[in-house]
Amino acid sequence: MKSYSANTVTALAARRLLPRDFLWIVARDRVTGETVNVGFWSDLANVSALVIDPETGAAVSRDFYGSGSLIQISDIPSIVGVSVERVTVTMSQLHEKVQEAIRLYDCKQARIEVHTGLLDPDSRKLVDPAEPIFVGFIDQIEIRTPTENEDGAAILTCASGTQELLRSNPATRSHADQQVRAPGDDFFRDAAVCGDWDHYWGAVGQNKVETAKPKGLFGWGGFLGIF
Amino acid sequence: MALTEPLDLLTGFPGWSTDFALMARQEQSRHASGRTRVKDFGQPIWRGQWQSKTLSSNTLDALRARIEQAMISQMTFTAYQSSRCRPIKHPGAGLLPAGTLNAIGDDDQTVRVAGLAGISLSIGDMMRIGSSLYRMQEAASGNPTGVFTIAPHLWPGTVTGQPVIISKPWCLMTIDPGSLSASADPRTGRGSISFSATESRG
Repeated sequence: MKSYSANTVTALAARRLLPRDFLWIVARDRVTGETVNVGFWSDLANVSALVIDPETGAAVSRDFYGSGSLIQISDIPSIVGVSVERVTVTMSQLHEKVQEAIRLYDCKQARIEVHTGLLDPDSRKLVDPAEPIFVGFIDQIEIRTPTENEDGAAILTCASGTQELLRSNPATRSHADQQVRAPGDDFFRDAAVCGDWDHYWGAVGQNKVETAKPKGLFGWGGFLGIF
Repeated sequence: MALTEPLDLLTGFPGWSTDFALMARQEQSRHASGRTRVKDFGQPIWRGQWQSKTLSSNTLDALRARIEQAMISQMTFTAYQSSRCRPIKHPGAGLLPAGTLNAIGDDDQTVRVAGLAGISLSIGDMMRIGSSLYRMQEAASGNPTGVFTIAPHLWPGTVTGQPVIISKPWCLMTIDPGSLSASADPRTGRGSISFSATESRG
């Protein structure tokens, strides 16, 4: 069960609710390969907000761009068990920071975090650092350029981080793989061929144990001297 | 005159802002117990509606040209509430001083303004702080003034020391597409113009 702090519980029970969503994308620079962070939130103006880092559980301050760039996040189910949940994030394809994130940088398989926070109705400040409610990867990016009088959008289809658990281990029992794990470790040098090796007691050729091979029909030997 | 942003549409506009209000983005849910819960999705922005008096066909054409251009090009214009070009207690044409933001309260909606010597502000006065427009919710006077409340909350990025304007306090707006109505009377050729506009930020 998820437990909330007293501040959040009070804010959730209040008559006036000011929920805000915070989106955090860790994209990749196409040239250098470095990660590039960009944040959006569901209100106007650019802000710095405290959010809880899902990795460490500590509150970190991050910058988020506003101005209607974050239009909609589909329902994020809270479920029991291990299954990969999909979440669709709809953004404005016209916002220059969205353009930058999805066109200039590489968002394929980029890490995406959704945080939700409540503002205090009087001061409009976060009552608590925004809680992470979804951590995953961007599977698919669809930039919908509309025809006249139609709505456009940038739609990010994301899969939750649970999919990491369903990933199979690609490592094999081989010398090459062991060199990746521990360079210089020769333990598996002959792993591919040693299954075919014969081992002899004593000197090679002496006391060689011949495997008895069946003779004749059904291994019965020369039955009646005929077969 | 070259067309540059922000356009100056309202100087000499022969009319009035019939409506100048904050547009909230909220949804409500009323419980069986009678308790109404409100969900607020964002900081409110200003929205205004202007209506001219009946104009001669020549003036109508001139105004229509300017406002139509502003609507089609979606260029911003400086918008202010026609009835609140000056503080309520300081009518006339005398020069009004400009102040600076002296202090911001913890709740981001109470402020103290310096540099407005001799000015007494009342509830309903408009005020431009930094690059945004606010409406006063409490009376204040003095230099610096006492702490008073404004609406909406201060926008992020507002810091002390920013200029405070009380003479024609304005914000940037763009005219809502399709909101311009400038039809002329078929018998006389006279007509009036009306349009609405919404604050345009960033």
